[in-house]
Amino acid sequence: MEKKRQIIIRPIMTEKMSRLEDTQRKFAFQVDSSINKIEIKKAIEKKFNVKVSNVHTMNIKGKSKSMTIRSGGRVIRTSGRRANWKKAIVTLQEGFKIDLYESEVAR
Amino acid sequence: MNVVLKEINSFTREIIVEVPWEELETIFAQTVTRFSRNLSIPGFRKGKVPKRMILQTFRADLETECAETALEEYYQKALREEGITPINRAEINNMEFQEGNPLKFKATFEVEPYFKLPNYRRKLKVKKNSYIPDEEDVDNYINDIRQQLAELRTVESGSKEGHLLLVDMQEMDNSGVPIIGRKVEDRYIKVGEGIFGGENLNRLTGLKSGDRTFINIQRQNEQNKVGFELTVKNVHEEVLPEIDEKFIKNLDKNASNVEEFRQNILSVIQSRLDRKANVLLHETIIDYFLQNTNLEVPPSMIDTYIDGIIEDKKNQNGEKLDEEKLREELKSSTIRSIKWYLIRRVIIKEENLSVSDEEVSEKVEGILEKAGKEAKEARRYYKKPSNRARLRDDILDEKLFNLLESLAKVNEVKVYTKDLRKQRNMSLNL
Repeated sequence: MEKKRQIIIRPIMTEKMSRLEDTQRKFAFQVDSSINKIEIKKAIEKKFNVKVSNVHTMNIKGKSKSMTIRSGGRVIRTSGRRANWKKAIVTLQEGFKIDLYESEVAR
Repeated sequence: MNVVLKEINSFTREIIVEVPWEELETIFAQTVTRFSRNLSIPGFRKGKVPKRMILQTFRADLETECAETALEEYYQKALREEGITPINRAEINNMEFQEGNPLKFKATFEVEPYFKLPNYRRKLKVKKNSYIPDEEDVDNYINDIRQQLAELRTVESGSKEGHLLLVDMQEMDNSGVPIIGRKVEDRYIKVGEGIFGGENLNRLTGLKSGDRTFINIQRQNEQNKVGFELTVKNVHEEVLPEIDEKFIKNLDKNASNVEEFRQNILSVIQSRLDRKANVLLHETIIDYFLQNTNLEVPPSMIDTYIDGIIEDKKNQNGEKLDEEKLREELKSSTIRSIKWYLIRRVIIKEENLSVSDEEVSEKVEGILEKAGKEAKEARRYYKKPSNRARLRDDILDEKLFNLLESLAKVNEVKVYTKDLRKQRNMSLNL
């Protein structure tokens, strides 16, 4: 049986988004990378009991990171990448609101 | 704000304060703003974190902080409204506060106790001693001066009772071996006086310079006597000055003969005894008020007073003190002092007694006139406000006691100094 996927991973709470939430009813979430806009819309509407008018998505490339480790007198330089992820900005219909600070959000 | 005041006892008060949310809104908003200024959360600049996000995480902390700020403000406000001045730090209980709800708290504290003075204007009766000195007092006084001015003359023929010996004293242990470090050098002892009399008298008579002798001394708080070896360095006799014209002129410029000299001394003794009588009278008056006033001293006042004394002692000695013991010892005298302090203040208020700046200046001038050579120093001393305040207090005390004495029924009792001497001798013999 296929494992149930978690569509909404976490809300993105930043200074910019909190401004957009108040002025344009836009809410940002990290979502599963393989999910499309329609599925996102359905998931948000079901989870928060709201009506979604628009969904924008964007794939964020994980940053490459490098670091230096000292191990047993040797210096090792290593590098890697952070995972790619998908951000969705959901615009709600007029009259709807999500209280991210009060509601239980999947993480 | 709603304040309910309760009297628990004569000095304990309890206030229950309720502040509506509307009055607290600004304080709460200020608390959140202040808190957010230093709050650092990823995704937000400092001070830009939305209020609702802060509240979600830190609501309890913010409510506590706001309650504490508001408590201080509204506690003071409540005290002002009720016109009470606490004398200790209040104990705060049952504090309740949540955003959107009123702040409630209960504060328990002590105040200066309320009490009623006795009807002293009618019922104050006191005994005052009127001391009567006699010629023997004058003789003793003159003898004391002669002793102080005595010349020392070396005696070659051996010591007698009343002679002074200049000695080194070496302490010995039970087996008669000197104890190292327990030696006193060049000490004067008077043969026959105190511990150098009694059984030691015989051992101390007939001694010449260079002689050695052993004596036993009973120390206080020790059962066994301690042995000392004495090495005599010199034997002196005291030669008292004769009471002649020169002697009189040196001591009293106003006297021209023995009669006048004695008369002046008598008046000095009389004024000393009068002062003593006054001190006793004041004590009696204080006792009257303490016994006839129903007054309970708040424990916090006692503690503060004793704390001050202990702090002073610590600073002076630098030694370790047995605080508990000292506290117990000081307690009764402290209660007496505080009671009188409170009673005195009420009497002064009721009788409208006060001391003006002119009165203080006048008193200072009087002191400076008497000070003579030390006038300059005295003038500097009384320039200091704290010293002037003390003097003002003294003048106030003088006024207070003069008033109370004038109101009281004073029963004067004649006390002859010869009787006092008899009593003293009796107690010495006991």
